[in-house]
Amino acid sequence: MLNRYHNMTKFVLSLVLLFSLIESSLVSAQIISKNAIQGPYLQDDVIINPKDNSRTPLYQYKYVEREHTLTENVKNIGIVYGLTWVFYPIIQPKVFKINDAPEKFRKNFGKVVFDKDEPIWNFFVHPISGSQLYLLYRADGYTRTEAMGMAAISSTLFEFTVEILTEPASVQDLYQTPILGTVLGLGIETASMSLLNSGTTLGKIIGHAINPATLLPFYEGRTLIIPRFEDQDKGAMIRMEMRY
Amino acid sequence: MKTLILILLILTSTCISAAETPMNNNFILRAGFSFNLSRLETDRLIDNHESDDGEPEDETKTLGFGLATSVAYRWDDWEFVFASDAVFGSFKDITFIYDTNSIRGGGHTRLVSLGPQIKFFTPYTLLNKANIYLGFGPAWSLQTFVFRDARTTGNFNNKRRISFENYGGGVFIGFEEILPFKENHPMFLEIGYNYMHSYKVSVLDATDTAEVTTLSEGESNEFSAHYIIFRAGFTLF
Repeated sequence: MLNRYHNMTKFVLSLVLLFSLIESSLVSAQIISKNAIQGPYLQDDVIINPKDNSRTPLYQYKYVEREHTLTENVKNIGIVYGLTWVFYPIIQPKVFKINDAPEKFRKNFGKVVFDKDEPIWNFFVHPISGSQLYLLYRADGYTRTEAMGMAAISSTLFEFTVEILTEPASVQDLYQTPILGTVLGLGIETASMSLLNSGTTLGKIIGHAINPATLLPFYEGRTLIIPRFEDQDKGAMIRMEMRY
Repeated sequence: MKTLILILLILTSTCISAAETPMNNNFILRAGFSFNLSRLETDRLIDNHESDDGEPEDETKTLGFGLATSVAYRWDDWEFVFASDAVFGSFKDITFIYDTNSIRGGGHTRLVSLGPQIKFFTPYTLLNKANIYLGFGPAWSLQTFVFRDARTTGNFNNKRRISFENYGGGVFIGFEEILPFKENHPMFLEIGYNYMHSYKVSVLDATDTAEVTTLSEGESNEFSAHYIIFRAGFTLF
């Protein structure tokens, strides 16, 4: 019985030794294979090149510009204009009063004044909304100048027909929403593209958060790069995706 | 991998070359900083006390700093511009009259000015690197005074503001880098003079920052200002 127990212990110890040997050989094999990787390899959605430690994401984000027909322009302006009618009363519950709205609309229609709002509105809130308008049109393939123009049309329509439900159209808003908005939008555009192409998850999250128009179905700038690492067919295949 | 990098390089350079847009016959968006040295003058004053800032009681000098933006359409030598400055500064001691009461003190001021301008690019250059230009145009502005330590004989507190709506105009001279494309982001530097005169004054209550209420407003011609403006910036696109 004691001998049997002794044999069993020897067997278990041998097994442990065998497993540890196999494991260590596997680890060293892994180290060897990692060291052996000279060329780029794929990890999740990122191509990693150990030579220069570069990370190239499979999905590249950029802006694809294209021409738009007049019908498309009118349709896009119409959609944004419709959305302002829906969202303005929701985001301005303090100043929007349904009972006063028709009277204020009549009183403010066609008036343009200098508004006396605090700087937070004119230099922060309006430029932010202007920047998102600019980025929305950029995502739909408008050039920078066209996107600024479309943002100007949208914000002018809003000022003269929607915001007058609460206050007259304002000179500062007419200028600052599209122009300061475009300046800010351009900064966001550059920053978000760098973040989205950084190859990091956090970069992608922040990139989409500051430029949410890149998540919309009509954003055409998400490009898939399919690399080929084999010697016989080195190269890359690039596919433009029309949908996120 | 080399092929992949080569393809990416070609694609990137295509994007860059496709995006090159000449400065002429195009819309141009510029942005930069604006420094304002201003002399503010008020007419309706109490003249029997000395001013804290050593200036005559009816005027005060301020230094402001802010943003300058403009959108323009450029032909060969001419540009039609719509420009705006948003400048913040502080004032040390100024007195206004409100409902027969005086409001005196220091605080900060903010100025928003905008207007159309005509700009002419002269054939003269600075070391063949920058084009000298001249410009002029009318301007409208809103100058708001926020008191930090209002001393008043009436009912006025630090939550209240005095705003003047002004009109006027200005001239300027500057130079801009000679670069062929908007994507080269040519820089500009200009100095200008503006004169503004008030046509409307409002007393505001900003207790609720979400909805500033106008307590009173009326015609005004008692406020005027001279501004020396330095602007520096570049073409964004």
